[in-house]
Amino acid sequence: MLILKNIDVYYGKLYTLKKISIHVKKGEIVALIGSNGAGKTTLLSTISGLIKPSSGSITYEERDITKESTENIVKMGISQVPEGRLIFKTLTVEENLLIGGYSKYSLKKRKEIKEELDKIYHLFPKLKERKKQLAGTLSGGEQQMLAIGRALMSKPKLILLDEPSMGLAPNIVKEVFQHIVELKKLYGLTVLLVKKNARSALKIANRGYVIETGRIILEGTAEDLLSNKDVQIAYLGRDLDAELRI
Amino acid sequence: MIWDKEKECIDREDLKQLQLERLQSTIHRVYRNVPFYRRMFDRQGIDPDSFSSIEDIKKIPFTTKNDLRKIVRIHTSSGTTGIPIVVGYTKGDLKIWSELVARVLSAGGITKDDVIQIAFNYGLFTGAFGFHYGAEKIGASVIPISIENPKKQIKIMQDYKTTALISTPSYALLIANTILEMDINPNSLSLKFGLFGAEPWSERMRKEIEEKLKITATDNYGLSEVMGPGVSGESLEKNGLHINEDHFLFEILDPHTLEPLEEGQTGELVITTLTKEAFPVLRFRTGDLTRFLPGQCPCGRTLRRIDRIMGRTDDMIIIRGLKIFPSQIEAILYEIEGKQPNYQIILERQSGIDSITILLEVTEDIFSDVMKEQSQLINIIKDRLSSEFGLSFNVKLAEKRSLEKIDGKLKKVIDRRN
Repeated sequence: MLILKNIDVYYGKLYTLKKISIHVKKGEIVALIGSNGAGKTTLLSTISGLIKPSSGSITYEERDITKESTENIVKMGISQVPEGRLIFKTLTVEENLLIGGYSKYSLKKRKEIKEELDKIYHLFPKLKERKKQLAGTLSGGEQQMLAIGRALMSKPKLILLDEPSMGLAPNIVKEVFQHIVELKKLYGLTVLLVKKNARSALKIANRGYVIETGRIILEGTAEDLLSNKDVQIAYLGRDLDAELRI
Repeated sequence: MIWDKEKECIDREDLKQLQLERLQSTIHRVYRNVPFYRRMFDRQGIDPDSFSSIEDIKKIPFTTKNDLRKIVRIHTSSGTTGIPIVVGYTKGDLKIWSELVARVLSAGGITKDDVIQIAFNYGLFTGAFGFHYGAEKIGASVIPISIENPKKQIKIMQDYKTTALISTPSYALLIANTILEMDINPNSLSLKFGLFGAEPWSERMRKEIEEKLKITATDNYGLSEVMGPGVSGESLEKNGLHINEDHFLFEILDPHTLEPLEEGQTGELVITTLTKEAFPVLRFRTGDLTRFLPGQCPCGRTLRRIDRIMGRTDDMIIIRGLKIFPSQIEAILYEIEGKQPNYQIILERQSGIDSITILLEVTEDIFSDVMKEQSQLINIIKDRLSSEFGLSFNVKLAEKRSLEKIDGKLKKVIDRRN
């Protein structure tokens, strides 16, 4: 569905992404794990067309989208949920959702918008309860759900999730991840998920990539990555030194 | 049965992308973790970020068996030359290993209902354990008999109704001949399949084993330096070994110029591992000779095939520009003699002209006193060889056990040209 081949990205003179090649198949949940500054968010923003690569190609559903504008990429069915949610806090929950559907609907299509809203409210009942409330008053977990709901309003086929569990309590994280799995089942969504903390991401993912200083250093099934010692030390909090002392 | 349809029948374009991703990540990992490769890259000025296609692999120098010894020596406190190469496996490697052997076993006809007799040496040799892991993955029953005297193997086969034999082809033949000697009806055994490897063998030998044991015999190839068995294996179509290309990158190069050869041409197999964690190798020169086979296999697997291993590069004879493998000569001798020949190939040069002589060891029954019969045999062999290769051969008969041996091993080729 999505194929990146040799993507190079520079921030000024800083070589940020180095010949990144990854692929995501239809219906997969793929996790991209790596520490701060590894280039995870840059990679997602490159896929959505917010950042243009200096070389390499991005193919989405057999179309070259390397030079496509973000608006068109969203219309083609790729939607990004940014890190830190970035919801509009001074607008209501429903207004936030409507903004997400902006690219898809003109105001003449009220009925369709209503249907889409109902679907999202069905998936996230909390959002329905609070639809008139200002988004800024929601809890962290609810804000995350709102951010995902907003992305869903454009009826994406591929959703790019950037750190969906950041700043959330562990039980809320679990809930958010359950929703992600549900999304895949209900909507047939394909998910590319970026995470610093690998364990929870790999638990719901089919495959994963490990990115380090702008390079992919490991690719494998989620199961393989979970048992990989390098991954355990760097991203799962395994302390090998402590183990050796025992 | 196809064990992993998604991977074994993968779209070739998807495979190329996957190979590229894995090659890139392997190079980054190796550069970061293996001092030997880091030094090699730095010394040669190779930028690990500069690989944008599979073909870029040509930038990397080869790894030889000697290099592998060196790598190991870095990590061992005491070591002398001639030490065997130590290969390690991480938990992840073992998982992939059993998956890939499961593919090879399934391709060779094995299912969970089989009883597999593994007649490889358990121990440091990778063959036995590799197949063992794969068989367990499939859920088949395993008899880890190891190397035992053939009669014991046969007894176990009878008692436990073994359905599949895993061994070297020569050992399978030994068992087959023992069965015949013991006057056991091979049809009374439950054997159905044989998966043979770890040494070069011929199509003729396959037929002989199949006929004598009443089984379907498939070839498989792997080597400890890159993993062990599971690297490649034949399907029941018996038309070449499918390479597990999602984990290994194969190149076939001219052993002298080291340039890539076209499909169908025989050369040295060079392997790069794409997923190994503990012991990754880049462009390892196997010294084994084979060729890529053209076309799609009717079994449905899209993975590329190689021909059976035809021998070692050390054995390849180049005479008057012709490439000849001892195995080719062996096949002809076999055909004429009707059994596994003992022979030696002598290459000589006189006033700039190369000549090739076959010394054929004959048993008493052939080594007849009648000169006429002897010269007839010689002429038949000569004619067959020269019509096959378009080159004149000298053929001499030698008495039993008169051929020159090195370390107790018969040296197949003696090159006296230099």
